[in-house]
Amino acid sequence: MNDNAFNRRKFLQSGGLALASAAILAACGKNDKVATAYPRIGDSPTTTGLPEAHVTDVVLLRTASSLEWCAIDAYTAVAGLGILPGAVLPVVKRFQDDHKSHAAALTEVIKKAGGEPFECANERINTLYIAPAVELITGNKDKGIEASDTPVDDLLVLAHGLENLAAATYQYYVSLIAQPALRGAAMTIGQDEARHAAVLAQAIIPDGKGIAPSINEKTGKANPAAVPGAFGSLAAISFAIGKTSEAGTKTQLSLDTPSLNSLAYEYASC
Amino acid sequence: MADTSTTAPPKQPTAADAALLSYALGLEFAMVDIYARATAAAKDDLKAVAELFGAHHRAAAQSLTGLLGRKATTGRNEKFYAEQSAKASGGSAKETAAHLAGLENAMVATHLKVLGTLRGIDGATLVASIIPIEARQAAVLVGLSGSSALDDIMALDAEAAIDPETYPA
Repeated sequence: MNDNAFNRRKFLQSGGLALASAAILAACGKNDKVATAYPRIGDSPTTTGLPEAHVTDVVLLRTASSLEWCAIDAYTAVAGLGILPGAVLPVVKRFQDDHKSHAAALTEVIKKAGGEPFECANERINTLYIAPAVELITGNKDKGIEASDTPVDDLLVLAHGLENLAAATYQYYVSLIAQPALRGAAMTIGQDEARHAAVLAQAIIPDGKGIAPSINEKTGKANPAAVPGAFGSLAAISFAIGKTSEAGTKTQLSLDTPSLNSLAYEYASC
Repeated sequence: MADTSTTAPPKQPTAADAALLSYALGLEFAMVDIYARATAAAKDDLKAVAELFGAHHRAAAQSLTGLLGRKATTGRNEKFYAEQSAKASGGSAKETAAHLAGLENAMVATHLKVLGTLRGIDGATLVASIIPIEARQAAVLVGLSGSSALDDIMALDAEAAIDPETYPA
């Protein structure tokens, strides 16, 4: 009995406490200024979700188009540096014209497929790959980057890397594109990029020595090759540019084909 | 908004794909033998190049055979070989290179035509990996033929695709 009486007392006490607590909380709740003045665990700013996006044939072709515009802009910048020898300038002009033709062809293919063309450079590719590479060649005092001691060679190596990236992108996208006719259209352009890369490899390593794969004896790295293997490679594209260090090495860069975070989704616009 | 259909294409080659790929395989076998003949006749730089490019066509043929399995043809395209092989060994190095460049361009055009028709992803992926190499080989051979004109190096004639009616399997 004593236990029961104790329990009843305890129950009434705790019940009273609960009622009092509820009243205080309710009072606090009525005063917004007081309630919001204190940060609480679990508070978070309102977020806006990304639009729903699918990787469609059109998205892949828009991304390819954005790469073409990257190449157009890069060749414009390269020509504008004023350091390329006269013999190389017609090649740069021709390749830039080819990329313009590719972009125009892609615009038509995208429209025909019911999509909205994407006629500007891929910002992520520019930010991640092209801008840092150009800085290694031209230098950037603000960032403490010294200019390359072999800028012409490095520009050719960069162009070779970008052409290989374009060729590999078209090849890779064939495995993702659903419509056969669009795969054919993509590789019609992709094989052009491969030819560009072959020309540049032989300009970098002339006299027939740039045709087959070879190794740079100083660095132990693979030299650019016009025909680097029996099949088009989808591996990361590596090359070295920039000021030569005391150890005789340059900065190593690596390019990968645009993946999910670099695609020109249909909600994106120029 | 563009078509967002998620209907996936088949992975394996369809029956129609297999016929197209088998035709391409017969041409690859012919190219292996054409390059073997060119390698035997050539000297110096062209000899090494012909040997390398012939090996690439052999690798392409082996991969196509692996993909097709029992549906794969086992022999070269005889008419194509008969008409093209003599020109790959009879002339000067520049003439031979020019002829081989023409054949590589024809192979690129043929594979592009095939690729635009294939439904299966595996076949399309393999053909897409062969095309850029044959395009690069064409570019190199144009250079070895004595031309440095970019118009020649970049030239691709879709009409040059090898036709099954002219060169039946």
